[in-house]
Amino acid sequence: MFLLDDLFELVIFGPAKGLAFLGRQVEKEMEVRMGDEQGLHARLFELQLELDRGDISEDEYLELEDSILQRLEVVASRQS
Amino acid sequence: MRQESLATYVYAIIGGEEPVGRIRTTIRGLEEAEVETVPYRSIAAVVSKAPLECKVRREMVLAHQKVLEQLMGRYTVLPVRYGSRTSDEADLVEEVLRPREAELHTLVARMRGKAEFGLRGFYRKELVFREVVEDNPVIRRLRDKIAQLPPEQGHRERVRVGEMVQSALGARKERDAEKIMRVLGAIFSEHKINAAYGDENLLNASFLLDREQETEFDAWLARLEERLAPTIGLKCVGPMPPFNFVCLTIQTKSSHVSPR
Repeated sequence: MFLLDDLFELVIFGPAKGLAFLGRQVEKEMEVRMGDEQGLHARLFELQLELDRGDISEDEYLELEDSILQRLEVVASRQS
Repeated sequence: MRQESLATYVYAIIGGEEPVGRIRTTIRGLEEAEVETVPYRSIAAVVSKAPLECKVRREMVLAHQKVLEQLMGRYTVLPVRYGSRTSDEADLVEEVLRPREAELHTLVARMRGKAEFGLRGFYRKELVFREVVEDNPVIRRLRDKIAQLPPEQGHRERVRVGEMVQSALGARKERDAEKIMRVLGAIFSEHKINAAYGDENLLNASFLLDREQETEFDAWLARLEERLAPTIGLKCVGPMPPFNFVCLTIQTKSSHVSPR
């Protein structure tokens, strides 16, 4: 999921240059703007459709659903 | 379990060509409970009995979704957020349906014959990273410089390249998303753009389409896909209830409904 994974390094530096760098600045992703909430509800619905029509696997579904539910929790905790 | 210890879980507000009436459906909702309607004049709430305390979890999402799917073909559906409950039916009528009937009726009329379609644009990762590097002479030069250094050196330069690539990718996302929306947004005016998540995702948009518009929308998507391939792929999901356009919130006690 993250930007700076092996693939990225491979593309930039070529295979021989394996290295670990740059902190996980993408953790910021977990920040949720309030306006996104409707979008998250819609996204949950979409995911199920994608699973039903076989676009994503059960595992992918569970992983994505989990991250959306977590974001919704972030929103809910801010509202209470 | 005694009746009093249960809440009324609300899935949707529906309306039809004619008033819906009180229906005990064959649909099974949360915890296999029977789904029924609570009608009020021209509209009706779709509900089932549910525990007072329940968090939004997988089982809830699934049950909620299945109920909405079964309603969609038959009625105009205004989706209610996952996890919405009132203390009982009387509360639902007195605090939501009666005071908001006119507003909900208008919303039902506005959504009649329409459905939401989600559109996501995503990059093929290996292609976009290569393109970002190739398109940017500064990044390219820095990369070539690092390639000359022994592996134990150049840590700072590497971090810098990483940051530069990330920011170049961000800018590129904006441009590409705009390119797509310039075409689709102009033709299909009822749309909303949501935040994109992750590196591959460049666009998350929702469109509210009339039944008759669907074919045209598909045709435009096909044209765009052809132009954007192979670096960008598009994925369209729908039809679904108009979550991004009318998502109703119903809360227990101080129950209120708020569109948008």
